[in-house]
Amino acid sequence: MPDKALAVRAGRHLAPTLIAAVILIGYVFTDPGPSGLALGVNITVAAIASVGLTLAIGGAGQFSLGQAGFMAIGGYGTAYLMLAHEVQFLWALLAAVLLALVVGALVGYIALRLHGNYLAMATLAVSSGIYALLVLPGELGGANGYAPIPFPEIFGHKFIDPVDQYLLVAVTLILVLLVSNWLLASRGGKELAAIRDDEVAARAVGVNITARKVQIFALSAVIGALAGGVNGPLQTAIDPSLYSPAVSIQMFVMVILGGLGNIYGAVLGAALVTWLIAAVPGNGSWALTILGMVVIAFMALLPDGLSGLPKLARSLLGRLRGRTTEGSITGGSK
Amino acid sequence: MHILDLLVSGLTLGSIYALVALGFHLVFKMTGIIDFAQGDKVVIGGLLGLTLVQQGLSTVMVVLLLVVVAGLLLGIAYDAIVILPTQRNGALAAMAATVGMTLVLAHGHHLVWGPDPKPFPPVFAGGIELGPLRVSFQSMVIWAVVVAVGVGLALLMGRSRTGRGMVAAATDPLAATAVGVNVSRMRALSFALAFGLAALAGVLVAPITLAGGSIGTALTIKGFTGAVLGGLNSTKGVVLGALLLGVVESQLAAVLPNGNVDPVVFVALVIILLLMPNGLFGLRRQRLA
Repeated sequence: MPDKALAVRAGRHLAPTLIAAVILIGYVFTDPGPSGLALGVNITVAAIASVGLTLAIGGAGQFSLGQAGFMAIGGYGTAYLMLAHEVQFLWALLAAVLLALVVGALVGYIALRLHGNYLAMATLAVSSGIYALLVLPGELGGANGYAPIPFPEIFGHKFIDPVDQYLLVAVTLILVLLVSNWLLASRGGKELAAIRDDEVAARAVGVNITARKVQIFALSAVIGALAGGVNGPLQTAIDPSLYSPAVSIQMFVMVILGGLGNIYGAVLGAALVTWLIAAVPGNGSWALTILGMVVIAFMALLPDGLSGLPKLARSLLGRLRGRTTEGSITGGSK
Repeated sequence: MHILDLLVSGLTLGSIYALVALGFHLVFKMTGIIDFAQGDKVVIGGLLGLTLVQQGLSTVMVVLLLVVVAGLLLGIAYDAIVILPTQRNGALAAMAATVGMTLVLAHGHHLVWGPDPKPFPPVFAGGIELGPLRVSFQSMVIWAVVVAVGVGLALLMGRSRTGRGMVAAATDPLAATAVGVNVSRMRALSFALAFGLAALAGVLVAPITLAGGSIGTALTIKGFTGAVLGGLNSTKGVVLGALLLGVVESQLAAVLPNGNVDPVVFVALVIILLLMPNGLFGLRRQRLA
């Protein structure tokens, strides 16, 4: 019985991933051209990282402002191993992701002691610390950046064609979505939601808070590093500004706009933010100023983000019929 | 003597952190929110001062006063627009809104003043020589301001009716309302002071660091580190903690290669939060929420 229920649940949850996959792969056939494909790569990479961040923020209620730090570990780790030690792309990526796993688990231990505001500030400090280290002049090139990173090569196939490069990150995103989906629908995901909603109650019914928090931060870091590690070699040159604390804040905004805890919302948020920064003139200044205002408006009116729209509609309908609905994710916790 | 030179620059740096940290303290005490835009307010203050100077205002005190007044007004607007409407949806929604505000302030000032940091004419030129030690008037003014602000706040909070009202409103808004304290006015006052002090810090520090640029987030973290080092709940604590951070940072910068202390400070913040969350002067037996 439980197995069947799980299968049904997993099946139902697969539909949005399939739609996302169709859109992602279908984009190639709309003949986007090199600049369109480059934008597609940027959006998809941001989407991967923000899905990882969503698992920590929305899945488990752990406010993290440090995702760019993990992307930096992935990007610089992969690039360094490929360029300085001539390691194969996949092995270099694996090593960088493992390093992020360790750092993410450490941050998870921090999250055992800190909550809410304090955790957000601590993770922002971790991300800023990694950025400050990367800016230092040294083997990794400091503020000037690190180059030339060889193109990734998997089983003898070199990713030089922009279409191939886009498909590489798109397939990575689809895999990340599948894994996240499975995780959120599994027992572990339910336990995370329990921690998010009421940590004391979750502990009382036997959820292992220590293990779950460390695991979710480690996984979130791994996905962030994956985004950085896949993207780094595609860009051939990386520099610290790709991973600055400002990028961490942008990631946070993507998750907020998409709706806390909704991985597809995070993908939408990533697409919206990245596209706006690229499309609106003014080097992103206009786009980010407006996005900041949108975040404030969302937090005032629609704390569940874009994915909260159906709920808001339901609650308005309910109110018309004289019923009340329960509070939002953010409203429940202190 | 080298150590004394570093002490002078450290105290100046710490004084700036102290003004930022006091803002954290005021907002936190009143609302329980940590304001992630605190450092960006400093940048705005510096740029407002720069505009006034470029308009031909040469009297330093007038510039300082105008910027502080502008900061106070912006602080009231900040509370009304950013914090009050979002706080209904929980403290974390309000925190996320302040993160949104960092974007508005940090990128909005690029739109108005341009992305590059701009030189700011020294407000107080010259200095005095004490043997081999040279103390610029700029530094002395910064110290004097921090002492005046610290003493003034302590008197306001401790002695005046308004200040007692602020403490009451922060401790228990409902009870404070019941005994006739205007809680929303106290809130507005806290946010006004938080923005005003940050703006003041911006004008004072701009001749040293340049006005504008993207130092907001670093200032946020440094000011917060100073605040938790001393104890976020204690007015005296945040000032002393920030001064201590400034002094330690200057001494470290002379020792470390490249003078890059930022990673050390950021790691220190995490360690302080984990090991001594109440800081050096904070209240005992209080866990971070």
